Amino acid sequence: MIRAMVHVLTELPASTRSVGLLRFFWGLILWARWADELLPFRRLEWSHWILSVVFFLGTTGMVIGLFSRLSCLVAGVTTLAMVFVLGHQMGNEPWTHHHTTFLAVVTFILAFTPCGRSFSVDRWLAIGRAERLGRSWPEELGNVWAVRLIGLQLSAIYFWGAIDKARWAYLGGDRVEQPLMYLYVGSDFPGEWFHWFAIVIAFSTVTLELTLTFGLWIRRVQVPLMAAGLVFHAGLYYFLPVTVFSIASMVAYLAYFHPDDVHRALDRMLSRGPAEE
Amino acid sequence: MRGAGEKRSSGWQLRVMLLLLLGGWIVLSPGYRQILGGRSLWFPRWVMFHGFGRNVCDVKFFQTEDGGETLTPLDRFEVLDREKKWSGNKSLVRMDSKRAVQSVGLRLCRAMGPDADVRATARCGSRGTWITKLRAKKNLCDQQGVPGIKNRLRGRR
Repeated sequence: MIRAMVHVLTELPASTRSVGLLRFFWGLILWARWADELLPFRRLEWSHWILSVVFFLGTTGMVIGLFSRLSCLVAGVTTLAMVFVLGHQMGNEPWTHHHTTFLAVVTFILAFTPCGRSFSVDRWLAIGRAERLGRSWPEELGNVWAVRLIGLQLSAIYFWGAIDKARWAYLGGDRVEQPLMYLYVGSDFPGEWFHWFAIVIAFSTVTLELTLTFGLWIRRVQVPLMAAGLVFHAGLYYFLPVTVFSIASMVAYLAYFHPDDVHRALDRMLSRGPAEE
Repeated sequence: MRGAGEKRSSGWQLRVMLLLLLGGWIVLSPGYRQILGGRSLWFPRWVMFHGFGRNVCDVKFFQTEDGGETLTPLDRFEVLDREKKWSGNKSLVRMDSKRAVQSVGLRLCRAMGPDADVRATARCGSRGTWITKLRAKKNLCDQQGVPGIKNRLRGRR
């Protein structure tokens, strides 16, 4: 029983296209969050320059897919250190935010996937090698078991986020009213309707987060739930200062699909379709 | 492509270890912070927007002529002849503390003359529910104990 479970959880031989896409997009998201802050002229100190070089080496490798797994490992360890050591332990508060933790953890997990076998310079080089040796092209196939950890991370965010909100201050509307008044309304309470609106938003958010936590793993309801999740994250991005958290969550939805389904979907999109007789 | 064989591929021990360590850390560590009240920062918690946007008060100003028996709503923008604009009059549009409310109250007092009786109800944001700070029981024009405010008022009268 345990043996079978371990097998199911640690063996997922499937297409590497979804992890290839994740690697590429995640590298870009890391740039969107940190690249500007880590440019060398931002702080004229050796420690900053070293951090900058390591970050850009790792993330560039992720985006172009060169030494992909090693690049993810370098970027992952670097960003984890930025969050947990430089951020939490040494007091660089902006690096301790939720989205930075999410970005760092997923980057690290990607190092345990064969994410260089698709959409990468690594694959380009592998194809060249195969052609020189007269062999067939390498398959976009590998054990992508760790992609589930990415889904697990986003589900944990939804679940514990919902648990945090399941308190009177939030469900009673107060903690929805306050940010909305702070950002949009000012000190004049709009009226009773606003209170009920806040309560509806609060209950909808908690319900949706709990539904997404478990529902995104269920294949039959994945697509409608993802549509709801995408609208939810787009709304958060548009109305609140969540920065890259929304786009990162949207991209992480790739981790819930079976990798072979992603492969087939890409094939379908890139093919010419059936030829007319 | 689907349909894994039952044979384990190499490195499965490392994968099991990673699954338990990383998976356990991902799933359980927020519980340590959020449920058990753990303080170690090596374990993440997911409390997005837990305290964001709490620097705002829900405020109503009133004037009264009978010592607070009858309260008549007061439009601060009209009294001060200012537009409700975030760009120009942010401190009037959004007050973030009891002190800020008292300060606006004082401006209203000045604008309304020496005999004005201006009161306010205010509840301010917090990490939890709204917290009541003012109940319209005191005339803001007679403010005591707010450093800097009373002197300025006296000087202008």
